[in-house]
Amino acid sequence: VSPTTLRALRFDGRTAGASPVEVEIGAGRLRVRAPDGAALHEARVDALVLSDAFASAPRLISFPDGVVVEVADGAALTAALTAAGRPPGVVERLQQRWLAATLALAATVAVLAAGYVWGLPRAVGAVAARLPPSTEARLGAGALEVLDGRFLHESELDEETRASAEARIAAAVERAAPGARYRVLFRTMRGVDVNAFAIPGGTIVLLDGLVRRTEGDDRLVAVVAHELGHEARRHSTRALLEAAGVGVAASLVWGDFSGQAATLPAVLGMLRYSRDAEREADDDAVAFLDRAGLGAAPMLDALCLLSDAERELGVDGIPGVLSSHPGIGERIARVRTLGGLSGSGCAPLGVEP
Amino acid sequence: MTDTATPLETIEVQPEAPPPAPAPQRLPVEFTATGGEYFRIWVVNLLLTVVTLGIYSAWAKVRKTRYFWSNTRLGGSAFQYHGNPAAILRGRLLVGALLVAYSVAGRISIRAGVAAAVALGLLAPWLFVKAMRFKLSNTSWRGVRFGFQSSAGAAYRALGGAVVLWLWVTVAATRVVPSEPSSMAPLLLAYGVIFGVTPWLHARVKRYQHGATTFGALRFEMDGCVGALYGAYAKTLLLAVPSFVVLVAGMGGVMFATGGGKGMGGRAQLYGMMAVVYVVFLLGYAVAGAFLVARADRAIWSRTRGGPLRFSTSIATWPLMRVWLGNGVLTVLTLGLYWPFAAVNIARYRVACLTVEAAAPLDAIAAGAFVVEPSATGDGAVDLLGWDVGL
Repeated sequence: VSPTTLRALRFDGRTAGASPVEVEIGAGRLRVRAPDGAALHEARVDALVLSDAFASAPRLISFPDGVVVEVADGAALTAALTAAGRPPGVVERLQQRWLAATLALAATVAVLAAGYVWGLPRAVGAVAARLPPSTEARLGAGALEVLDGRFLHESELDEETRASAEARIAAAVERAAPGARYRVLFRTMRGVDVNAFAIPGGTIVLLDGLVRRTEGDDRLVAVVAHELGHEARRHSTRALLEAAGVGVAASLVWGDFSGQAATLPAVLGMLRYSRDAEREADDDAVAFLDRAGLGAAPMLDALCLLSDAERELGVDGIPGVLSSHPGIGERIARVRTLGGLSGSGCAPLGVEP
Repeated sequence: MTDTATPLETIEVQPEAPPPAPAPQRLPVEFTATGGEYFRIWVVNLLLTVVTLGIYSAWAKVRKTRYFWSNTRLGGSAFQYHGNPAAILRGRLLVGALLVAYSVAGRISIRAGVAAAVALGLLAPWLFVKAMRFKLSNTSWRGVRFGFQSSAGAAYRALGGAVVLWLWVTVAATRVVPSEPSSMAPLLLAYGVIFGVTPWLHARVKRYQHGATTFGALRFEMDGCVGALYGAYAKTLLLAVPSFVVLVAGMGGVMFATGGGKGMGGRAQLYGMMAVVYVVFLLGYAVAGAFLVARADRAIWSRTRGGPLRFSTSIATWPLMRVWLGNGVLTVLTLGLYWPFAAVNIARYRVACLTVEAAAPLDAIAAGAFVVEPSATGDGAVDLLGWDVGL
């Protein structure tokens, strides 16, 4: 096999000046020669210090004395070195193949999806279970700050309405879950405001529309009982942590590990729970109402109110924040079964057991 | 860009001409990276980063940087990046821990948060020097390394103003009580001052940054560009005014079309408003942002020189804006897959605009003392905090 000869530039490492040389590869060795044929450097190909192999970029060979030899036709050098027994590294080779890139893309999507479906909930569950209450409260305070700055506004309810709502909730909690640590906040927002949500650390946010439309009845208690279920099972903490995990993954993919922590998507993701989480919170609410001596009817009526309110404004809420509560019909049926309430759907309303 | 007419210009140099004495010779600049190749590099390294839970990201960064530098040729020679991935990983872990401590302190109490902010602010110029030194001392061209020569004192003098302003805003923001509009006053004052001195700070930081850069034994220098940057910022402000007018008019139009204040058009109104706000903001940002970047780049590069080397850039508002908008639209439409193509497009345009002239043979540029910054702590800080240290 005749040796391959390539034109190159030699830099002596002392000035930026260049001198033309020839690089000769053959028999497992690489030789650098001056135009007059004088040998300048020689090394075994497997001992060379080389820059990465790319499709059309030059490649540089570094010699121990600071000399750098630049081969403009990098691809030809790569081919000659491969033939001489010094192929590029595995990652360098994969980077050059569309098939490998396509498979890598598919594998990345698969790994991210698997991580999201199986890995993240487990990791988050383990973290949430070990999180001290004070940390949870701080997480919640941060989330509330973001929500207050962007979506929520001061409640427009008068003092009397708030006080009576708080008293009704406190009385039920006293009977059903004495000593439960919680805090109620009143807020309003544009669009659908017949709703409530739980924020890590025992904070329950009641929106004005909900409070107004449940004045003087126990549907508000039922909603709070449901949110207390989310709190006790740390659903909101888990959702917040999950969304933060997604944010970190996103910054790894596009941001090259940029520190732009995705707080907003994290908070927006917080208020959407799985069907299972909703069912668990519903079960908790029915048990709570039972202990409070109110029966399951307020829960049923509260679900009907939410479903009416959502229908008024279309299927999903505005910025994904409150596109709450999936499968409301299914949940209504379950609450009827649990509470021993006959009938189906929302009518007839308020059937007593 | 290799297919455009630029190579023709270099043919005009007559082969038989005597060695040019003082006439500066233009060093051709080429950028040979392609979106397709960078996409493959990005996606292969992404998989490795994901399966190693982020640890490989330091190696991925080195590969990506090497790709861009290897495909950038000045005077026929490519740049080379020598960054050590293990050092970058250590730097990222250290700075990551620092940032976690900072955000935890902010949650514990305002006083702890302010103390942490002050500590971070005091550290920032030092981290900046470390980052620049790591980045430049690990970059070479024609076998000669770049470098960053700055004492700590010079860094604090150049960057201190920016740090003080940042601390001022941070502290003022902690004093704001939402229910008391008057408590906003110190924050607004701080923003006002920032607004007024940003061009001056920008000029100062760039002059320091370029002036501390070395190539071998050659030290770069930069003339002041305070006046030019004040002009650029002022014109940017004038350019931004029409977008505010369009914004107000568009929102009024949506209000009118969807039936006034409250009531029926709730959803349509909200979506309409959001569409108007996004479109106007993005377009306004693209126009004003591209104008500012183009003007500032031109002012800064035309005042930068190093020994026999002179620089200039022909970067202009409209082409830059077209690249930005095309990148943004395609990245969104492809759910992010266009990202590597976008990165190459931006780099290609910026490199194509650059002109470098040498008034003396490059042999005259000697290598410097061979000092390599071993620690990537500052580099990690730059990545994690998103500071722009692009030269």
